[in-house]
Amino acid sequence: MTDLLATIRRLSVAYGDVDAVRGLSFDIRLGERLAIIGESGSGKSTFARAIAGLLPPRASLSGEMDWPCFGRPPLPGRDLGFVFQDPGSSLNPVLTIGEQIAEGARRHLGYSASEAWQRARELAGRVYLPQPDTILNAFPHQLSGGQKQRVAIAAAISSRPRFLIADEVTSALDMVVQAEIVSLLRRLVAEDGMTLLFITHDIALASSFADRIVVFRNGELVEIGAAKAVVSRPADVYTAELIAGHIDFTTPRLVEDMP
Amino acid sequence: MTEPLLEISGLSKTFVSGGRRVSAVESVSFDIRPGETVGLVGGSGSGKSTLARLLLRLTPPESGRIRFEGKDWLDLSGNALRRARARLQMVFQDPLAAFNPRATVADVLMDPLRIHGTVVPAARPKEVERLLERVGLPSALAERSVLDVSGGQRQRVAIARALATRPALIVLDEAVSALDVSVRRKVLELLVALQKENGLAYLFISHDLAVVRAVSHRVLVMDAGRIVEAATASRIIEDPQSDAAKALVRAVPKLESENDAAT
Amino acid sequence: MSFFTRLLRSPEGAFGMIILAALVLVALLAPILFPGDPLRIAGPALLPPFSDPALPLGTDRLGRDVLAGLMHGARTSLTVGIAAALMAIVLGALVGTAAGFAGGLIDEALMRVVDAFQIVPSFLLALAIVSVVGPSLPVVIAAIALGAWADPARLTRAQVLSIRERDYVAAAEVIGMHPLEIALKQVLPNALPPVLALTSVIVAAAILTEAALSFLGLGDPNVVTWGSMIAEGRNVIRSAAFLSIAPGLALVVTVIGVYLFSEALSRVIAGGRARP
Repeated sequence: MTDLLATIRRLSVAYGDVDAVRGLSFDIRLGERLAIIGESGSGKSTFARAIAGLLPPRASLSGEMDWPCFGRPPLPGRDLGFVFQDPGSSLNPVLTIGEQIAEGARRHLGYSASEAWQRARELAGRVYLPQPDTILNAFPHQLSGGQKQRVAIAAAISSRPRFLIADEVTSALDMVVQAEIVSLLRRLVAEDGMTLLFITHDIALASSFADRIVVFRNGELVEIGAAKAVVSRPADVYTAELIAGHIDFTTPRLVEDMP
Repeated sequence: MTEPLLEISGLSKTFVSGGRRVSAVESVSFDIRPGETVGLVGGSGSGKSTLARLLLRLTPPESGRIRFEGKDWLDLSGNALRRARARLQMVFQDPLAAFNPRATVADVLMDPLRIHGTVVPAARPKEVERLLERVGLPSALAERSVLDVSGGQRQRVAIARALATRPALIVLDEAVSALDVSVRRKVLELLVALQKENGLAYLFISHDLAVVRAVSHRVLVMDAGRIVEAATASRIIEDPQSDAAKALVRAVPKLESENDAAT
Repeated sequence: MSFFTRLLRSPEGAFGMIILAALVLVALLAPILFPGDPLRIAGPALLPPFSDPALPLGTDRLGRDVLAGLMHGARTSLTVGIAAALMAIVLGALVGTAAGFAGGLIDEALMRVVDAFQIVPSFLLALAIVSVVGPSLPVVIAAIALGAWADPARLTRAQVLSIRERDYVAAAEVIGMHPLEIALKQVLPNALPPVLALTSVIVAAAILTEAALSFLGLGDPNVVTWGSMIAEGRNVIRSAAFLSIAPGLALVVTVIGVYLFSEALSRVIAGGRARP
């Protein structure tokens, strides 16, 4: 059973009388890139927070989550890194970039201040932040959205977690920056052998780099399978709708060129 | 060839930020003809939203000229400008932020009808119903608060508001970017249908070249405040010239099925 | 859920409401239960409380009915508190709105006036005005309001500046709405709720300021106030401490009631923005 990171059985989360997710059962395999796909209200972000133990106190959780590879629930920041959708509000505005990246290494790896700073420099290079020495002393408001998200990713992996959760990390960014962030995540996950849970509303983005895809709708799981198989032969009508709704350069156009 | 509806020439705007002058829009020139959709694509910070605000006279430009329907659009002010606004409308990215949180759907649609006297007061409720029907919404929605309708419905209400004053041109600033995939397609189809019905022209602003390609007759690529490329969508996708266009083409994720080679 | 039920659901809200409702009732009933001038002599001087059923809380040094004084004093306190707070909020909201919309030089000028009022301690300002113009209820109210309008002015300006930048204000401009209508219908209704939440805090402060002015003998001499009763009782504080303690307690309970109410109010207003 050591090839599993987590087994999730009958997981439900409710806010008051409203179920955000209902009866989820599936496994997360060690080292895989698993994409959770859903539209607004599908419960995909609630699920990510439930997995990470980041639910607000008013949420009530039922069901089972086992962590064969940790032997206990993972500690956020130590065993798992979490990257949020909006880097503008997930970074602390009064701490420098360096302090925020170094935090995880200091707290969880027991690094001294100077060792942690060294680690922050190394991470800044790994996430391709330009001019690390200047940027580590800068504050979040001095950075662009894409740079902030790179900082958030560096901070999330600073304690060398085995599990990384990326919750809609590209939805606040433009397409070009989105592509850069996705290729960055792909590389970091491969180099460090991390397991990645990638939450997104974009099935094409998921299909381009996830091993497996889980489709959520209204808090329930509608389909799970190997990414390319799901895209080629969707088992559920809803998944087929999502695929049909995707727009790329092969989609039939609604108007013609008019030079 | 028909007379252009909108002619922009040499439009520029710089902002002062932290003592530095940042050029947001730099000598931008282009035309839009009646009934056509011009796609404006670029990354964040490329200046495309500032361009929209300049066009809508929400921000004053530094230099340049805008002619709209044969009139000098930048010379208008006060009442004359407010009256002329009926012909040039806008739909914002975030449908939730674009409505007064206290308003009902009917309030949102009544305002433009009242301000421009589009129909006589007694006919307004009927016109609200008609507008909702045109954007594919049930008339029962009118009495609901704008906070109580779904994201897709809200964006349809925003489109209905823009249609209320019978415009010639609507600026769509990332109008479908915040919508769910299943809803986005339908809103795009609605926009194209409305265009065919009324001869509307659109300036379709987006960071997603694939979406721009689907609905635009012509495409402008914007980067660092300048228009770096202007061509048809097919030409830009097949043979992008500028670095910005190349990056935008590459950035569109492709659905990867089993038939594709593994990456 | 309606605004009031939400207000009443929190313990602070319910408690504050009960105190305030009792106070308003007392103020309304005072002229019915104790007709005539509460400053007239009603019995022997310095009658201890609970000794005469006709004068349940006894009398003061001049033989005036203490209970009648307390109840009529509630009228004065509430009148001054509410009137001064209303004046301060209206003045502050007007100035703040003007500054926020006008911007530029007008904004600068108005905000420097606000600064000037904010750096003078409000009690000293009220003291100075009342001693120059003369003590009467309208002057006391105006003097207190002048010391309290700066905070609402600042908050209103900040709110207006933030809401002006919202998309829905741009959208109103795009459909050709007149700037005056944008200000009155789009900006102000969304800018004012947090400013209104300041009202009750100002009411409490105004009640205390009025009491302090009266204590110093600068209140309206023709009406009975809790402040003047405390001052009056001070002369016999060793022999009849009750004469100072009773109005003091009334003051404490009132201010606590207003604060609890305002606490609940701001929480409901803040919660009302994020929809469930």
